Amino acid sequence: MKELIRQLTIPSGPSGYEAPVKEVIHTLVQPHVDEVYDDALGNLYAVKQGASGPAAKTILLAAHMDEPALSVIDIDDQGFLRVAPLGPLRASTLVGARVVFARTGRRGIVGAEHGVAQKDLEFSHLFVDIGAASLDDAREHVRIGDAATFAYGFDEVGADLIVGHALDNRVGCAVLVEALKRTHSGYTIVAVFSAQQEVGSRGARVAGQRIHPDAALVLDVSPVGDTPKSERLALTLGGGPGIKALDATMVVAPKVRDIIVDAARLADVPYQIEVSPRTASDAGALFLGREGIPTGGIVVPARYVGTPSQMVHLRDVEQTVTLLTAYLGQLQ
Amino acid sequence: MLLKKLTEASGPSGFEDEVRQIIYDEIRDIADRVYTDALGTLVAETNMGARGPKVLLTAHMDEVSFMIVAIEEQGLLRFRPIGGVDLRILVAKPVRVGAERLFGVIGSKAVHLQKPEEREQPHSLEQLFIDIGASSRTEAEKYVQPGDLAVFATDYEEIGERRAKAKSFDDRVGCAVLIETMKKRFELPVIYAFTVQEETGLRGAGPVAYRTEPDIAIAIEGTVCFDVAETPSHGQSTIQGAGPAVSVVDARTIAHTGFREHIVRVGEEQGIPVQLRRTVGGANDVGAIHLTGSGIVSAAISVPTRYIHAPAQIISLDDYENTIRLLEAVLRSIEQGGFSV
Repeated sequence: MKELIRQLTIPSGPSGYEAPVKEVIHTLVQPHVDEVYDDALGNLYAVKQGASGPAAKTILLAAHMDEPALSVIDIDDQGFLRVAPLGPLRASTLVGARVVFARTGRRGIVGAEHGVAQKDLEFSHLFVDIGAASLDDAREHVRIGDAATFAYGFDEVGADLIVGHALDNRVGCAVLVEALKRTHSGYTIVAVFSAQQEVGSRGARVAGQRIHPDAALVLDVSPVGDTPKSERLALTLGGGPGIKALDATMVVAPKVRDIIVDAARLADVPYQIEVSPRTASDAGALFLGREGIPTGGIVVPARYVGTPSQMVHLRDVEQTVTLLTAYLGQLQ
Repeated sequence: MLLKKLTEASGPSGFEDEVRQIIYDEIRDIADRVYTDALGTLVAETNMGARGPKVLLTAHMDEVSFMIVAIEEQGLLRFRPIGGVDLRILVAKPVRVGAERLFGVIGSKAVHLQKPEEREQPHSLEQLFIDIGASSRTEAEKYVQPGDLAVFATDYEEIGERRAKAKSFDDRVGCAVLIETMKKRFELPVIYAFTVQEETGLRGAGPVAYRTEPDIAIAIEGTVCFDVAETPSHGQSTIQGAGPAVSVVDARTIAHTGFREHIVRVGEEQGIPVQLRRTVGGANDVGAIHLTGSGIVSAAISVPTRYIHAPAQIISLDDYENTIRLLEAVLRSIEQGGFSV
């Protein structure tokens, strides 16, 4: 799993420009599914037919590919770029950050205008320095509309912990890729590697309407409450997969949640219940598709969500795959 | 004069009737079929039997406006904005109230009477009222009811060189672009939708996209432009006179990269000036359209509009005409198979 996550974390996937991540996933899932296609929003769909043939019910599994990014809105005469946020980023936390542009791979550093107190920093005070000598030089490498993400990659801390700027949600993508390899289900599985989650689950909304599945399940990471003076949250790092009860976008029906809990018990996988009132996920957008789709979620607990150094426990990831595979296997 | 007729008409969100009638009269003989949907959007179909991708073009009919909510003892009208209005710009502005277009002015305390601290504070909504010259509630009630609407009272006028001012270029300029485009014939099924309630949250556009199921959608807008003195380049959004602006990112949409780049390329090939909209704030009907059904390849092309959402907005007539040219060129390129979904 570690190698798979590393592989998925390296490409840059700004909301709306997920192509570099999509290419890697496409190659990984192709041998294990019956059909792969994409759509106008940038979602990648991988379909694995159910064992019970064409009459099989459908389950949609969603993991978002995108990460928050900086979108270039202007290039000045000296070749400095002005940027605006795509997704939840705070200007005051970005000074000195190293970023990489998804389209060209060009690297840059975020700088700030002098004379503004850190707490008062807004995006209009920030710029990205890509080492360009002039406007023309900058235009060789970056265009207005290009997007950059953090460029910190993947790290290991101790024996079992991994850290990365895009573990949210390449970990979910990795779980989904692995489940597609291992799973045999009575249901037809439509795996959606969704686009534009960070700007409001736009990809998931369209995917739910298009596929209109009998059920949907979201795979994501979710913040833990186990660090010094952290917000009180239900999850603990290393405590096993979180089964979604509630996030900012939806309340999971107890019936839906219980099926996943039963799967965890049967498979002997430790689990936690995710109650995360301020975390957004694709669940809410899927759940409201057409006449409503029964939707649940399984999350990998993560520390430092919303920073460039999200931390995940590898055992939690493994157990999430086990739980997901068990859940899918019992669907008839 | 189309822009004059359209911008001087009253079209509060949800009450677009006057604008709809003007547009209907303009297009009834051009379109193959015209109808109004449940929310009030005017839909005109052309050449629906043609092969090729089905294209939906939209422009919204509504404008930022005010609803009268109460009449005070002295005959003054209390109001609430419909759509995003900066309260600081309202003081002392003339408005037209109700179907009879009564003249009114948004009154305020004279500078002579203001305390120094009052001069430093913008007026709150509670301090603002519309004065229609009535001396009592009874007198005012003869002319106005709570629920009546008011819009800015600005005449269309051409000013300077190739510029024009009016109250509601956002988005009557888009309506005008659609009407002019409809006069051309395309070997494509093209649906023109004049939408409602954009200013209150893109409410009209989703249902029309759902109903018409287009392959491609383009919204034509009037968009923010602040290319004025002292504003740094990254604070301008668009530049007046530099051509139609193609959206990249706004509050509700990340533009479809392939289609956005195609539009810019078509402009370059045809010698039509095109710029990118360089800000991420604001939104337009594409925000609702592109998420409809299984997702729709969409773009927004806008006429840069200075002082948008305010009484006197200014556009460049060159930008207006170049928007018509660009839209035609994009449709011709789709017609010829230059862009497919």
